[in-house]
Amino acid sequence: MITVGELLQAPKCVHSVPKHRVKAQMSHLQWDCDVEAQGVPGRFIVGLRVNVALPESFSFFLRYDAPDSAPAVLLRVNGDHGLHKNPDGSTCAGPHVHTPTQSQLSAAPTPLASGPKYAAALPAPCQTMSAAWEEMRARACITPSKEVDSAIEGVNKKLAKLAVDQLNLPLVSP
Amino acid sequence: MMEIESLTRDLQARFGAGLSVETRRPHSVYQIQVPAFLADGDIAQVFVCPAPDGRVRITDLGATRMRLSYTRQLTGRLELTLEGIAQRHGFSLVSGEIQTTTASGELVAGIIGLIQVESAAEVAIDTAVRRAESSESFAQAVRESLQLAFKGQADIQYHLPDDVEGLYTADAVLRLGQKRAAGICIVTTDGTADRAVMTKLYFDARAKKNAPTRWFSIARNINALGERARSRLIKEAPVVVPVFDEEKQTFTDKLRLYAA
Repeated sequence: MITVGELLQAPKCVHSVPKHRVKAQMSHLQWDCDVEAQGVPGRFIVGLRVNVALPESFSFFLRYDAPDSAPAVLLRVNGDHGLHKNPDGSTCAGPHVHTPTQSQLSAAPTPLASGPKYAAALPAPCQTMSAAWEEMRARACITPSKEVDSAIEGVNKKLAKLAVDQLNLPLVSP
Repeated sequence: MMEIESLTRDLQARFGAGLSVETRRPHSVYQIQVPAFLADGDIAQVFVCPAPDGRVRITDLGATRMRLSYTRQLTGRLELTLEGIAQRHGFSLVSGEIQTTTASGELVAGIIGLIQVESAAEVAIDTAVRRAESSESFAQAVRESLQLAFKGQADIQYHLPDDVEGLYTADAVLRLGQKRAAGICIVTTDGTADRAVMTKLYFDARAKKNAPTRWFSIARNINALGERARSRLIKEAPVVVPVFDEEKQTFTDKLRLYAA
């Protein structure tokens, strides 16, 4: 059994495939990319989701697709989408990271989980997608990636275009 | 225009002091932070947008679909299931958002409804998708058995040539020797039972050469069907295997007898 901790600690690099594009899914934009980790069964995906109406509400996540069970999100860095409440009753507002607890690090991933239940607040600079990506990279041992930087740029361009063309809302650039 | 202070006061009177209202976009988007949290601890995503006619639009701004997309493909089946959940609570799925427009006096009921949709979505979608996939994988497994048992004598997933979209497809057509071809339908639910009946009637109406002229069904469990669906099926395509699990080793032999 491979644990969440082992999965997070395995050195990873974003697979450089030029055809990954930002997809518009009506109310949100999404981008996914394969991540390679030597010697680990299954596959990792880095995903980015951004709400079109509220771009500050975004999610950068690391998902693990095990060979024999449903996918699970191991780590998730969120922009500001409102309050979060931890199992111990503590809350955090603003950007936060869903991160496994000590006991979860020693356990197998939970299938279909959208992210660990425990979240820690992040400093204000993590309101940007680039800063959120750096946070996730550090926690999940992922090397820097031009693919991801391009995806963030692509998302920001699409959001800017949507704001001007369709929504007529003031753009809060993440 | 929405008066944020009076809105906050009114909602806190119903939901308690734990509720807060945040202005996300002045005059157009307000986040209602009801102390209701989803499985990963994030607050249920409830937004209120004033409409020009004085009503209010209550919406998740697409947050539910966005969450589901972390670990699931946003397939047509998933969207339909989500739409069904939304509709049961008086909401609709429009441009990716679960939303409704209501009089401001109905705001509290609407907020509660949206929270219920979001809470139900993850669990209900997994159950529905798993059920549909299980149904299709059962049919696929039976088709594969038919193909193996009746090699060269069976057309699997057969439809008439002029039905180019395959809207009326028999799971199999058995052609055993010189006898009339026999159409086989695999039935798991009322929906698939009615589809089997429609397919049989479609073929009958066209009376084409090489088309089956006798029809039989294989049911996962005939007792799981509704009364009327079961009656229609029995009348049009006799159920030669009423409970598949009880005959899975011998059902092809049985079919050979009936179709011969």
